[in-house]
Amino acid sequence: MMSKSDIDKVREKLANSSVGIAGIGGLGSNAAMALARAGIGRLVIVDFDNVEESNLNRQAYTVDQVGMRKTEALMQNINKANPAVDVTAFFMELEPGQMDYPFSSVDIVVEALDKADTKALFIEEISMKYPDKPIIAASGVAGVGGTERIRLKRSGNLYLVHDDDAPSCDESVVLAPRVGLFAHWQASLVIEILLECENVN
Amino acid sequence: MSINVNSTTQAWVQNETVKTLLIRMNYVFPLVVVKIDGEVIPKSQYATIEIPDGSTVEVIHLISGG
Repeated sequence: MMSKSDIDKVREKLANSSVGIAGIGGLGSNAAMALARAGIGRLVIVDFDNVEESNLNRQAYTVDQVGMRKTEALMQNINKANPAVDVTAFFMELEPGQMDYPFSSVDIVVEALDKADTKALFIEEISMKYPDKPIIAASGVAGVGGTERIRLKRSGNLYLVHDDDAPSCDESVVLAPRVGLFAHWQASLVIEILLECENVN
Repeated sequence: MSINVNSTTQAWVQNETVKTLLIRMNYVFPLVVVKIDGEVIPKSQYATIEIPDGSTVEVIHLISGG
């Protein structure tokens, strides 16, 4: 059982931690909100899209935010949920060869991108440029049901929450409950890895 | 004379590159991350890096959606 001082240690560790999130759509916006509520001290969010009405079935934005930059909208929402979080936003597209620089100062990187080829390039580049940084990636969020197929694979510092039998987002819908499972699993892994280092879980 | 690919034993083929291994395994290669003995191989080197005998290859498949 955690003692009161252990709980304080957890809070302190999370408040002193930083997490970078690449892409703030269905995965990234939901993971960011969970991490903000959990008390992560600093979040770095990266995206180049605006909020669209079609995003609202799965992403952590609201009707009045349609048309805003996702980075601005998510900053607002994080600030409402937990104003203690220090948010750094990069409104930019991640281009191969320079995908790493928003993440130079964070402890852990969450891959929350959309297209499979971009996911692969991002994982490659971050693994090579920051071999010691944990990367939490996700694959196979589209479709309905099949949640029992979702698994975690670990390969060195790469953690992948995946459903290898899922359709791609070009073939099926992506809806809040299922993408939320992946996003929250990613956020949960972040906390687990941060606290493992502290030995307080 | 064998290699391990995603936890299955496969024959080792002399001078086989990452690219030709992926074709042999039927993987579509813009959508994967490949590691040989724990090290990530960039896509630009798939056509030149050869798979060493006895190595462990991980091919991590990625599906669009986020």
